Amino acid sequence: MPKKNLNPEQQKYQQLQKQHELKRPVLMNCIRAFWVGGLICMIGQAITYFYIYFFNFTEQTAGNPTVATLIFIVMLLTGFGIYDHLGQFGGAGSAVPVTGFGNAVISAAIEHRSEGYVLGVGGNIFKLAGSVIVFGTFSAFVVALIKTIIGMIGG
Amino acid sequence: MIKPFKKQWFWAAFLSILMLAGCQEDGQKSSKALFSRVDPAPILISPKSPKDQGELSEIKKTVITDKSTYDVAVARKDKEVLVSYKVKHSKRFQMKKIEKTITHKLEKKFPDYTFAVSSDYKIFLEIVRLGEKLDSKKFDKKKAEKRFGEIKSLKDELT
Repeated sequence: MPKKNLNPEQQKYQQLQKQHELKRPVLMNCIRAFWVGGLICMIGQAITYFYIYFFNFTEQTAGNPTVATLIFIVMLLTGFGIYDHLGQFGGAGSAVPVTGFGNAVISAAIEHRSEGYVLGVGGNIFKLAGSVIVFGTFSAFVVALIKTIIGMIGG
Repeated sequence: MIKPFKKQWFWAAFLSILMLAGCQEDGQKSSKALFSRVDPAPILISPKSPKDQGELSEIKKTVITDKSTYDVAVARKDKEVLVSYKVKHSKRFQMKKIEKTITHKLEKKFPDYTFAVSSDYKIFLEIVRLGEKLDSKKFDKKKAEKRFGEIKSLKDELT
């Protein structure tokens, strides 16, 4: 609500509320997100090295099984309720890496399981993560289209 | 209701990863090749003459003197040379440019050879492994040549 529409009593209340409002620990949140996000990426790097060392994956092709493994691990951790604690502690640090995708899929499935397997779990499992998939697919399509057009022109 | 995050779990996981990472040590260069500088000796599969060995060392020297690289593995079979190097972390944004520069430099300096140049860790690791297998007599010339071809085909997979 714009400030000019508030009556004096409401303005007074807002000032009082501002005095007592807890300040967000922005710096601390950033540090936590940095550490948790970094730790997830470190685990991802270790998984990449695992695939390069023990299997026939190159540095570039090892990225695909690494992402799949990380998503799978996080799906399990979400199901067991462990990733919630990490999410609460690390905030964006746990949501921004690809692990946040796995968490979004499974948490939506858990939330709607009481509504049944088809209309509940099936209908809502991609409620949060669906936008990510659609955005990824569509942007890949657009980029491929641009590349094809440039290739046809002869760039 | 979510329970408060247990700090000791986080530290236990963190420390166990650090400890497990430090445990592996079997004296072989290939076990450390992904993490640290191993400086493997150039591998000459064929023809085996001191002159050829010297030329191969010269190829390695040409790549290592580039200021973007810090570890180089080289293998040669006849006129085909496989070169793999690690790029310094701060220069990893210019990988393609570095590959182009090194290939151009090598082709200019050694026009008789065909080069396959790559900065991929897997190719580096496999060259180190090939050298170890040749040193321990696990591979004869025929097997080494076959493996050389397989490693070279890894580069084509990258595109």
